This record gives sequence, C-alpha cells and structure tokens, in this order.
Amino acid sequence: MSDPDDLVDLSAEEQKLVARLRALPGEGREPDWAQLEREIHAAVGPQVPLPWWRQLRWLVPIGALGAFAVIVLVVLGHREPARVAVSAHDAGVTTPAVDHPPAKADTVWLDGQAVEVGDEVDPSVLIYDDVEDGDAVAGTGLLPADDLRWVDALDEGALDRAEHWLKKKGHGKG
Amino acid sequence: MVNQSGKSGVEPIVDATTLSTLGAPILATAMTEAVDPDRELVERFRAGERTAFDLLVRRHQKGIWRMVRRYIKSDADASDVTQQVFVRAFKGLISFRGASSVRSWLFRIAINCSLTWIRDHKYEQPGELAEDALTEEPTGLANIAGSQEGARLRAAIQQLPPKQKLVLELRVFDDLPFKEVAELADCSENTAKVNFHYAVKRLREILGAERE
Repeated sequence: MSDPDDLVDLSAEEQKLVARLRALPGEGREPDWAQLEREIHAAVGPQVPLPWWRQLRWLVPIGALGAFAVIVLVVLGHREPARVAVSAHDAGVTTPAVDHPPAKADTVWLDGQAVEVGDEVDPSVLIYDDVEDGDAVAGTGLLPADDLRWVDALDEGALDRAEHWLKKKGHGKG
Repeated sequence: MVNQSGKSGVEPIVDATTLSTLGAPILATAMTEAVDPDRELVERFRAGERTAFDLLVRRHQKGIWRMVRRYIKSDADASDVTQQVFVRAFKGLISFRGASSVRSWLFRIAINCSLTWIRDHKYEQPGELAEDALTEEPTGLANIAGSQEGARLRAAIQQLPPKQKLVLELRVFDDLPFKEVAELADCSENTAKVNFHYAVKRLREILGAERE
C-alpha cells in the first residue's frame, strides 16, 4: 500500500526507491504459521488472566467487615452510658414531694454570741440605741425607738428631774 | 490490495486526528474505536473469551514475526521471540488502556522483546548474513540478482541513523500509518514524516555513492 503522504516532497527517483523497498521480500524463511499459533496457544495457557483487582476481590468483603468492626468499636468506646429517665407515672409510683430548701438564715454576732436571723425576724427588734445598761428607763434597759410619744407626756417635774440627773451625770464623767 | 504484510490496505478517508482538530472529539473517539478492528477482540478477551486472543494471534503473528526477524537474524529465534511477545501480550491485555491501537501496542512489545533478546545474546548474533541464507536455494539468475539487490538495499538501510531506520522500516515494511509509526518512535506524527523523508533521501545518497 502506498500512502500519498509518503510521496510528498519526494523526487521521482526517490519515489521509485520507495517502491523498490516495498517490493523487497521479507527476510528469512517464514515459519509454519499454524504451528506457531499452536505453540503460542500452548505457551499462554487456557485461562484468561484476571486483573489484579479481580484477583484480590476476596479482600473486599473482608476489608469491609473489618472496617465496619473498627467503626463499631470506636463508636461504642466513646459513648457515654445513656441516662434512663424513669417516669413516675409510667412506673406507677407516686412522686415524692420535693422539700423546698430551708429559708436562708443569716448569723449576726450580738453581744458575744451568734444569733441566727431569719427572714421572718422583724428588723426593728435589732435596733438598739447608745443607752448603757445602767441607764435603762423604767427597768427595761431599752427605750422603744419607734415610739417616742411618751416624751410629750412628761410633766415639768419629770423634766426637771431629768435635767438634774443629766447635770449630775455630766459632772461625774467630766 | 494486499500489501507485503498480508493485510488489506483499507484506511479511513478522514482519520481520527483530523476529526479531533475539527472539533468533533466524540466523533473522533467513536472513529478511533471503529478504526481499530482489534478493540472488539480485546473486549471479548476481557470478558473471559479465550478464543478472542487466538484470533488476535492469527491476525498479527505474521507482522510481528517479520518485524522481529529484522532485528534477530535467525528464523527460529524470531519464532521464539514472537512467542514471547504474545505471552507478554496475553498477560498484559487485561490492563491495556487503549491509548494506542492494539497493533502498535503489540509492535511496541515486539520491539522491546527483540532488543532484550539482542542484549542477552549479544555475542551469539551473526552478522549481516542470516544463518538461513546459506540454506536457501535460489532457482535462477533472476533470484540471484534479486537477492543481491535486496542485500544491497538492506545494507544501505543499516547505515541510516537509528530513528530514520526505525521510521522507514515501520512505514515501508510493516505498512503502519504515520500515527502508529510516531507512537512507536516516540515522536510526533510530523516528526515521523520528516524522518521518513530524510531517510529516503539519505538512502538514495548511499546507494548513489555505492554506484559511483
């Protein structure tokens, strides 16, 4: 077969040379082709070779199984125990009443001893004045701080006695 | 028309490369598959049909043997190497990707096997004269003259640079298209054509110098 491409840019002499080359007989003596075909058939064997990935196809299910097992182990290893919420209704048990926390009580240091003061304590009780123990009026020791209307009820004699007492006390301290 | 290698010389009017440059890659791909008649055999072989390989051997053993015989100057050794070529092809056909035609793939294996054989039998190779040449019996003067002319041409081819020699032989004796010649010679198609033209011109110079 001659291809026109072969002859492009070739002179007539060169084209003749190509024709002579093509006409050359093959080298050597050709073998018996049927015999050679049989020899090749015997040499390659009867089995069509499988590609490597098909030869190792048994690895696929085993690999998949192993990977699945590893994943399961990892997941289970990192999982916290589940909290089971037991419903009292479902269990048929009455729910015990939950006690509220006790009222918050503060401790106040009074006269050398701790006194717990709760929310229910009236703060007015804790008010005290500067009266010393020995100056208690009417033997109570404390003047009622929230009600001083009794002062208005004092007569002049009482006021004089009080002033006299105060002067006497002031001289005694001074 | 039947050429030297015994196969019909029918080639497509437009080749796949031309189609690809025209912007029809899908059509070009389809045509590549259509052009390579061995692709179907490969698919059947991959599907497990052992006889498809026998058909492949029957189709290509002559071309392979003739090419191997140009490298190895012994008929028997050429047959052995041809057998090696097909054994290797049998093992590798499963992983054949189809980047080239099956024929050029087989020729590539044949070239490699031949070069390996020559390397392993470096000191056993006879010279230019084939060992069978002595046993051949020319029947007349025309044959003698013909064999002398053939020997002269072959001797001239041996003087070509390796690349030009390879391209010329693949193109002229094995009748491969330039695309496959380029694949086997590891060059572009245009380079293969240029090498072919230089080879012919150089050959003519050698032969002309001998006459003078």
